[in-house]
Formats: sequence, C-alpha cells, structure tokens
Amino acid sequence: MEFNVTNHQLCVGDIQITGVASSALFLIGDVQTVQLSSAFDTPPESLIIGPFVPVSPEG
Amino acid sequence: MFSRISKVKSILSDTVSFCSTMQIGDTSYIDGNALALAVQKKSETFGSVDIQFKDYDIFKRPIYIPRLYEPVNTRFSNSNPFIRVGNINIIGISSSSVVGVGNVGHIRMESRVKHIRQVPKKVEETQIENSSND
Repeated sequence: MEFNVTNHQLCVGDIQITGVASSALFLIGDVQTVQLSSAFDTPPESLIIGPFVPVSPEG
Repeated sequence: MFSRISKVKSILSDTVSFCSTMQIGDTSYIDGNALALAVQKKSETFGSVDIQFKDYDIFKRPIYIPRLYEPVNTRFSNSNPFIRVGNINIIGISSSSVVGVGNVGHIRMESRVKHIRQVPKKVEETQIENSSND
C-alpha cells in the first residue's frame, strides 16, 4: 500500500482541556506509531447491594 | 525523518499527578502504563481493603493489537515546517498520561481500570425515604 501525505499549514488557536487521564495522550507534533489500549471493567456484579462483606476476589 | 517544528505560545497545567508527564522536546519512545482498582464503598469509615491486582481478570488479559497484513509505504512532504498552537490550558493530567510538545518516535499507552462499588442496602432505603419527604 502506498500512503502519501502532504502537510500544508497547520495553525490552531487556544486549547482548553479539563483532563487528560488513564494513560491518555495529548500531543502536538509528528509521530511515527501510536498504540493505545484501554480496559475499564464495571460489571453489574461490581455493584454489591447488601450486607457488608469484604471485597472478594473475582475469578 | 522528523521535519516539522511545534510552536506553542504557552502551556499551563494545574495538576500533573500519578506518574504523568509533561514532555517538551523530541522523544524517541513513550511507554505508559496505568493499573487502577477503583473501590467505592458507602460507609462511615473507609479502612484498608485487602484486594490485589492478581485477583482480577482485567489485569491479566493480553491486549489485542490489530495485525498489519501488508507493508505500508509512507511518504511525507511538509510544505509548512511548523505546527502552530496558541495557548494551552489543561486542568489535570493524571494516571500515566502524557502531554507532549515535539516529535515522537513510537508511543504505546495502556490503561486497565477495575471499578468496584459496595452499597449497603439499609442506608440506600433510608435515603429514598428522605428524598421523598423533601
């Protein structure tokens, strides 16, 4: 596969960001390769309604 | 390989926490990793919890990276050698995040979060009663 890129003018004004979190990336510049992966687990079982029990290990 | 120059007027961040980085200048490699156990517990006291990453599957499962099936020949021509940005204001940078100005070779970032909530039943019921009285 041939992939040709021509970068002309790139001008950005002001940037306002509330938060960059959990291995997120905010970059101004060129980059060769980027690999991002994210896993977030909040299953129904994670909501434990009932008497107090210690947080038990999950399988 | 790199030919463009990043020009930023100003950069401001209130908080840079939990192994986060604000990188100004060229970088060859960035490898970020964040593991988190987020425990929410409705209780008057919050003592220590005896839980470990190894107890949960999410921290063990291998990450899936799509495979490249054919070689990609890339060619870049930068007719304008600058990336211009005005003022940057970031309130918070957290949990192994990276805010960078400059060119980077390779970046790999990973995040795994396990969220656990514990709510006692009795307290939940009384709260509903209270809200209906209002």
